[in-house]
Amino acid sequence: MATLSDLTSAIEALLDHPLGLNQYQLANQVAPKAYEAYVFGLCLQAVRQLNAIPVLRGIQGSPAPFVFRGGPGKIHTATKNYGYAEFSLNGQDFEIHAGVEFKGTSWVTHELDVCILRAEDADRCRNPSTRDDPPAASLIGGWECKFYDINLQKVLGRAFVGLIDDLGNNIRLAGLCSNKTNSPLRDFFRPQRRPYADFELTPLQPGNENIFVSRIAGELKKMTGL
Amino acid sequence: MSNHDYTPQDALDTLLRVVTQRSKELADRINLAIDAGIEDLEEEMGKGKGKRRKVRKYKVNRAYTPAEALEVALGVLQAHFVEVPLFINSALANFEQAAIGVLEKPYFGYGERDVRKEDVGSPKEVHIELQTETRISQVAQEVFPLKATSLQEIENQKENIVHLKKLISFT
Repeated sequence: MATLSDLTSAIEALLDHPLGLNQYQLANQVAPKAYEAYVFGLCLQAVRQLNAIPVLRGIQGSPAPFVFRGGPGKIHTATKNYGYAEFSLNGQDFEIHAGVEFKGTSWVTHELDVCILRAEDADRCRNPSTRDDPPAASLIGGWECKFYDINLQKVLGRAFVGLIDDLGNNIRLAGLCSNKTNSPLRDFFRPQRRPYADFELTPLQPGNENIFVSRIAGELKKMTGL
Repeated sequence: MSNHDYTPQDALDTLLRVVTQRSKELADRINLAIDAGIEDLEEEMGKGKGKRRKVRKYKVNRAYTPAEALEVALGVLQAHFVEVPLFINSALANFEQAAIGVLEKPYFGYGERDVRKEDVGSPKEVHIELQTETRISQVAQEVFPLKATSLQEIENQKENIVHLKKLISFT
């Protein structure tokens, strides 16, 4: 029969492990961004599923190191060498970005945690003579990434649906990604025109990863006529 | 029938006490998760008689029971201690399979880009910016380099989670 002493020992073993409190204190501040990097990586995986090689680029030179933005930013920023990825499918060029702001149909700018957009629009927005936020029409896919250690809150769903609504009708894929879940929120995303509920998207659920990656690969394949 | 010498409330109190002693911040995260409560469905028999008497359902917000709160607390610990290293490992693995793009000649925004693809299959250095563009206050560290964790360490910590889960399971 387990005692409270056994329980205390088990808790302390968890906290004292190298991936316990030490790891928490180091990585806690970047956990949400680490989740965005994970979803960005899954988009790279979707590109490879179509036998294309994603290519890492930097806004101002070599993407070594590859730098993820710590906050929302402009695609045309010249202050730091932020990274992005580009790929080509059937003669069409695309880019994958993290933390970039887009111009909504209402002209309000919205940040997308991870997105795929047409490369020609990205190039035009980075060009010093035509510097601008990319238009909503350039978007192929956009994802909100929420690392949560508590259950998702319903307000996230309402906010994301509103954001996607302002990004127009060209966007082919949109989803709220999280390592956690929320049943009422899943119901909220059920109608056809609402974003996907990519919940429990975590390496602990490889099936959900496969669904997410395959959905992106499938849509890119369809769109490019591959 | 419980295999434990303690109640769910005892276990919850112990977990929160031990974590609070070691990290107030982590304990606050766990308390935040537990205090969020849960939206539940309740049923009651409606008015009417015989076959006309139907079950009526409605939603309520309620606090977690101690047993449920223990599961929520474990979820917080698993998210930080196991999932975050897994996210980083997965991201780095996918970056390893991407190429570094090197411009063969300057690109001015039109025509085809002449990009040489290098280093597919090589580890890439990936950083997360801490000193953001808009931040005035200086942070101690400008970037956070992502580092892979060995699978063995992650598996060991997963086993610790599984072991703890058994000790807080009362079914």
